[in-house]
Amino acid sequence: MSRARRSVPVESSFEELFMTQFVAMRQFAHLLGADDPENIAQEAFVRVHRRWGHLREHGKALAYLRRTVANLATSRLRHLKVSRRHPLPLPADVVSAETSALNGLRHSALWRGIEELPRRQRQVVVLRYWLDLDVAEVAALLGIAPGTVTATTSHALARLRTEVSQ
Amino acid sequence: MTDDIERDLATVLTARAGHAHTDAHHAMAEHERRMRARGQAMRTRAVAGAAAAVAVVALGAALALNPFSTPRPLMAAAPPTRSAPMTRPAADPTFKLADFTAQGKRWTAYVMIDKLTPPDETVPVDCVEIVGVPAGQIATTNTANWYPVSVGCHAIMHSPSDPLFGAFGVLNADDTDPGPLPNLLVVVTEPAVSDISIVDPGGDTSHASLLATTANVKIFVTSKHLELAKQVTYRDDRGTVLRQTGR
Repeated sequence: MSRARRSVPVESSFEELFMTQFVAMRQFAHLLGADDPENIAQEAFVRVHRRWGHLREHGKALAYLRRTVANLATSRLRHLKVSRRHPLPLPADVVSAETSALNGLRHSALWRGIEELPRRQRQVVVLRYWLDLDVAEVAALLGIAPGTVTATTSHALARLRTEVSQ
Repeated sequence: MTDDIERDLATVLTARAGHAHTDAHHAMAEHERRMRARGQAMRTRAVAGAAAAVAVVALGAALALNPFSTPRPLMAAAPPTRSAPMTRPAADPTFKLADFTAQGKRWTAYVMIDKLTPPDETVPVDCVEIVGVPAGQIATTNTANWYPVSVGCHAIMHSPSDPLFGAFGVLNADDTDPGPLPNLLVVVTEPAVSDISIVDPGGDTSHASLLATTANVKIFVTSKHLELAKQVTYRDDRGTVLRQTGR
């Protein structure tokens, strides 16, 4: 059985990657501000699939996938020259109504702030605080220096603090 | 050291990401479709010489003799039914969007509404397809000469809480090419939506044009970028606001 599986590793592994990562990549594109996250995730997987042999051999598939989604979302945003606004309702908290209201306001303000961040800052924030990548991983994914990631994160947080405090 | 804003960031991003639900199985069906379409496009570009035909026949014969070397379908690890094609009705509603010129030829862009049944499932899903075909042809599911970046099925996820099913650029899926119709946006909503008003950054209001109505969706077209708009409001025929974005 395992031999049989090894004889077709490319396709079975790609399917596994797709089924485990598609939703996450769609969410990733959505958080980056893409207006067509489903299409971006699909396009990213098509590109990964077409390069699958190379990516599989080097274990680079997930990083390539994330980078492709980030690039496609960026390209789409650059094309539209926009920052997105998707004021979707936040899920209800399980705390008191008053705390819930305050958190809701704060979270809404924070999301507005995220949407208004410059592209690179938004990418870094999403990668660090949603995907939970460390500085080195973010740097490698975006092709920038670790110091740039740190500085960009710092600038983004400062900007978000201002947004929330207003 | 994690401070409040960092904790809140994780919370907010997780909450917002949670709204971007999709069905991975439907998505895989769409992926298969795109891969087939890309393969078809590549084959269309290739020169179909007699020698190549002979080679294909020879390869097919070789593969028939040796099933273990048969090229694996995308879903090779899955049960056989998973790689079965999606089933579709004989005819799909097709709506003309616009004519355009690209690659030295005239083309026509269409929106198609499909109802596809993914493998392993019995319930069909609604899909929106935005395609280009040579001018003079009407897009059908059997069209052979798609414009290269024609986009396959966008599965429509009917949400009881959101009348907006999706907004799609036209033939601009490639990141290096804004496409031949960069200012056209297709907006797909639930049938209850009868008006989409768009307030642009300058304060002017316009309305998306209704292109088509089917049993399950309405299709609007606009030249406005919804993301640039100050406000976008979706109303039903009584004027009730069903959805509003912007500030």
